[in-house]
Amino acid sequence: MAGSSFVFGISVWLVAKIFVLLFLAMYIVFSLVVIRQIKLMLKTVDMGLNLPIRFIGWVHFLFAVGIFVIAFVIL
Amino acid sequence: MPDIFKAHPAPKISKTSKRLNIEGLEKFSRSHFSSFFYLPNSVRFIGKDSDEKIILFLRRHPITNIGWIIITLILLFAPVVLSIFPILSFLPENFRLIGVCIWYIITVAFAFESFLNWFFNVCIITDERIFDVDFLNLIYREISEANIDQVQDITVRMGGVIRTVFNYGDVYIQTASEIPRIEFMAVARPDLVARILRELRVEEEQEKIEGRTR
Repeated sequence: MAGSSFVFGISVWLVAKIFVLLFLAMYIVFSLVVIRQIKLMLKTVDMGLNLPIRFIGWVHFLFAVGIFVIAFVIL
Repeated sequence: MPDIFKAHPAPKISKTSKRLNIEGLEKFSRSHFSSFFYLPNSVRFIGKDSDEKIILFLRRHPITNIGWIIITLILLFAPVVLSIFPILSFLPENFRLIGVCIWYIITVAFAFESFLNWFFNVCIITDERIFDVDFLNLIYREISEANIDQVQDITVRMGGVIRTVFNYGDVYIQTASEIPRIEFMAVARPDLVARILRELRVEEEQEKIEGRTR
């Protein structure tokens, strides 16, 4: 991490990392809401395509978790 | 003692044993992604009766997706185009990498939400009822329902070049139920939808006269 910029003794990039992680944590919550939404939609209208749509929802969630982990490690 | 009168059980009349008297309905696509699906056997919906049969399954015409598809393509190629200009060069390499990942994840979310919005906002016409299922946002849904015999007036609205070329439009159904108007927005072949609704209404009235109502 580039730690050369300091404001009041706090690294700017550390603050940026915290904000990025907060955003990604919120995004994980959003992806969970999407999974819940898909469940609700499939309960309302079942078109025989449950598995692929659920799968995309879970892949999206795992993608969000993966980026959170990568951001936590490399930033 | 011999029976003077023996009542025979009434023959069970299936309401859906006869199909609609409209030619060419069978030729339409029977895909799960179809916007005009006649007699879909694989579709179930909340509150469906066991002997209720879905006549028509509708969703917005596929051409209405073109807006979000174009936006998604622009969003997908934006980082590549923007990499030519050194806008984010002040950021360290790792922040740029995460920035690009966040950009793509938001793009995926936008595309997926838009797709779900199209896929699950459906209109269902059964032999008994009309359903309009709307998912207004992430967690809010609205289901409007009316019986076929409560249908009072059907209005078809088509206008504009794109709607005329691709043959899609809005169908407004005035009902005598609690929900005064059910709207099927941007559905394919609105004239045919209106005709099917009229036929079903006539059939329902005929069944009432013959005492075949469920």
